[in-house]
Amino acid sequence: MANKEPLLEVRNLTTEYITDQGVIRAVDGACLTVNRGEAVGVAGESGCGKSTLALSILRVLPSNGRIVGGEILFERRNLLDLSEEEMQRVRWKEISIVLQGAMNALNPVKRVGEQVVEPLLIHGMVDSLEEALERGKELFSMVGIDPSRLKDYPHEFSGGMKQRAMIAMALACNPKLVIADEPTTALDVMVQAQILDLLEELQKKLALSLILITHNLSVIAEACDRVYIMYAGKIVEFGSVEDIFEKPLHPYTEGLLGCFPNIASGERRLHYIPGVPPALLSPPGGCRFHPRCPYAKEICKRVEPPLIEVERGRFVACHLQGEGRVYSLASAASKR
Amino acid sequence: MSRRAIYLGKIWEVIEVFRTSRKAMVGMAIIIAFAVMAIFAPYLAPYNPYVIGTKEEILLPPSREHPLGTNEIGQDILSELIYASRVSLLVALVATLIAMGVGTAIGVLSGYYGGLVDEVFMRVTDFFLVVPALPLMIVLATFIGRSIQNIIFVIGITSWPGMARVIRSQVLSIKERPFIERSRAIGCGDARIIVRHILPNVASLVLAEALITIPVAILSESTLSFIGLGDPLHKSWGMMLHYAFEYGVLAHHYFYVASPGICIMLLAFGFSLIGNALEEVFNPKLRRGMFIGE
Repeated sequence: MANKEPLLEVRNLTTEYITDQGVIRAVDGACLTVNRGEAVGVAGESGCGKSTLALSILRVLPSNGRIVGGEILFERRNLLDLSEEEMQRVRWKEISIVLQGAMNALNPVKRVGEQVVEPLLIHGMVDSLEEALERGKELFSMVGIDPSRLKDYPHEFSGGMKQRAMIAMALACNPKLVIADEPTTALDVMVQAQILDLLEELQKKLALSLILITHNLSVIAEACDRVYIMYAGKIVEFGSVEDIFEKPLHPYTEGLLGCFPNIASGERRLHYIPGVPPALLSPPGGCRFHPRCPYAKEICKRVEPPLIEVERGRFVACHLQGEGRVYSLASAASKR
Repeated sequence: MSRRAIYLGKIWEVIEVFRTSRKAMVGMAIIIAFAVMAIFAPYLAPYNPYVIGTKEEILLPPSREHPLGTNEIGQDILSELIYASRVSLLVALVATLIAMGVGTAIGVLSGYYGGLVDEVFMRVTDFFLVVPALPLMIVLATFIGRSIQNIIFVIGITSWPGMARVIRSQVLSIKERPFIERSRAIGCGDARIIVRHILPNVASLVLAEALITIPVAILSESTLSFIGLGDPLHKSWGMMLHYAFEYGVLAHHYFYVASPGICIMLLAFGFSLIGNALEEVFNPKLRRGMFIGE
C-alpha cells in the first residue's frame, strides 16, 4: 500500500535538555523513517524521549532544550538547516502535530472554531476569518463534530470532542505528515477506540503520513504499519507491526508486550518489567536496558549494542540477538 | 466579527454578579451619580465656580441661594464641588489607564520572554516598588510643574509596579500551558502568541487590578492637590481642601471642608466596592452561598 519513498528521515538525532542538575540527553542518536502514506508507531515508557523526538522534528522544544546533532530530512531538505522563518512555513503546512494533552491545548477564552482555523490565518491560506470558518465547518464534519459547534468555547466540549477538534486543527492546512503524540491518553476506552478509528480512517482517506506516539502498544497494533521501540532515548528495535508483535527480538519489547492483556493467551496475570527506566542524567553504560534485563551478560554492561538489521527492514540493538532463549518476565521477577 | 463576542460568557457572568451583589449595585450607583455630575456639570451647577464673587459674597454660610455656602473668594461651593468632579474623575481614570498600559506591557513582556528582559524590567519595577510612592510623586510633581497632564503622568508612572508584578506571575503560568506550545507548533510568532493568546487570558486580571488602582489614584490626586502640587487653574476636590486649609477656614466653615472630603471618600469607596465584587467574579472562592444554593 504505502509506496517506499521516504517522506521523513530522521538520522542520528540527538536532543538535550539543560537543567539545574545537568544535561539530559532525552533523545540519543535516534533514527526514524516515515514513507509517504505510511503510519508509523513510536512506543516506549514514560520519559523515554518519545515526545521530545516529536517536538524536535517540528523544532518547537522548550527553551531549555536543543538539538545537538543529527539530521531531519523532510522531502530531502534538512529541517535543522532552515532559518526560523522558513521553519515557520514548514510547521503545520507540511508537518502538523496533535500534542500530548491535547485536552488542554485549547485556549480557554477563545472559541474552538477560531482556534481550529488559526493555522489557516497564520499561513495566509485564506483571506478572511469568514472564509477560514467555512473551512472549519468542513474540518469539523470530517472529524465528526457538528459544524455548528465551531462557536462553542472549549469548556463546552467533552474530552473526546476536544481531541477531535485538535485533530481537525492538525488537518487544517492539508499537511503531508501528522504527528500524533499520545492522542488517546486520558480518554476513556470507548472514546479511545473512536479516536483511533478516526485517525486511521483519515490517514487512509487523505493519504497522510502519520507518526503515532504512544505508550500503549495495542494502539499501535491497531493503526500502524511499522513500529519503533524506544528506550531511554534510543531506538532499540523496529520493524513491521506483524513482526514485532509476533516475534519481538529485544527483551524490552518482549517485556512491553507482556504488559498488555492478550485475550488469546490463558494467562490471568499481567506482567511488568521490573525496575524503573534509567535516569537520563547518568544513563547506565553498555546497553541501557541491562540493569533490568533478565538475560544481561557481561558484554551488555560494557559495550553498547549497535542497531543491526536482522531481516529485511527489521532492526534490533541487542547483543543476545540470535541466541535461543525462553523469556518469561514472571520467572524473571520471581528470581529477584 | 466574533472577536467582540469572545468575552460574552465572562461578561454575562459579570452582569449576573452585579445583579445579585448589593455591593456592586451600590458601587455602580455611586459611580454613575458622579459620572452624571461630571458630564452635566454646566447644567447642574447653579453658578459658574470660576467667576470670582463680590466682597459681600465671601464665606457666606449655607443658605437657599448657596446650599453649601461660598468660599473665601465668593464662589459657590456646591458649583465648585460639581465642577471639581470632572478633574478628579479625569485624573483618576487617565492615570489608571497609563498604569494599566505600562503595568501590562512590562508584566507580559517580562513574564513571556524571561531571562535578561525579565531581569531588567523587574529591577526597574523593584525600584518603583521600593521608593515610597508619595515622596516620589511629590518630587516628580515639583520638578515638572503644576498642570493636569503632569499630575496624570506622575500618578500613572508611580502606580504600575504592583500591576506589573501580578500580571508577570500570571503570564509565567499561562505560557507553560499546552495551548501556548500548540500555538508555537502551528507557526505563531511571539507577537501573535502574546496578543492573541496571552493577553485575552490576563485581561480579566488587568481589569481587576485597574479597579483596585482607581481609588488609589483618586486619593493620590487629592493628596497632591492638597499639599499644593495641583493645577491651580482647575478645580478639584483636593484643590478645594487646599484653599480651605490655606485660608484657615477649617474651624468655622464645616460645609466647605467636609463636602470635598466626603466626595473623595464616596468616589473611592464606589470603585472599591466594584473592585471587590469583580474579584468575586474572577475568584469564585470568595463568592458566598452561590454554590450552596444551586
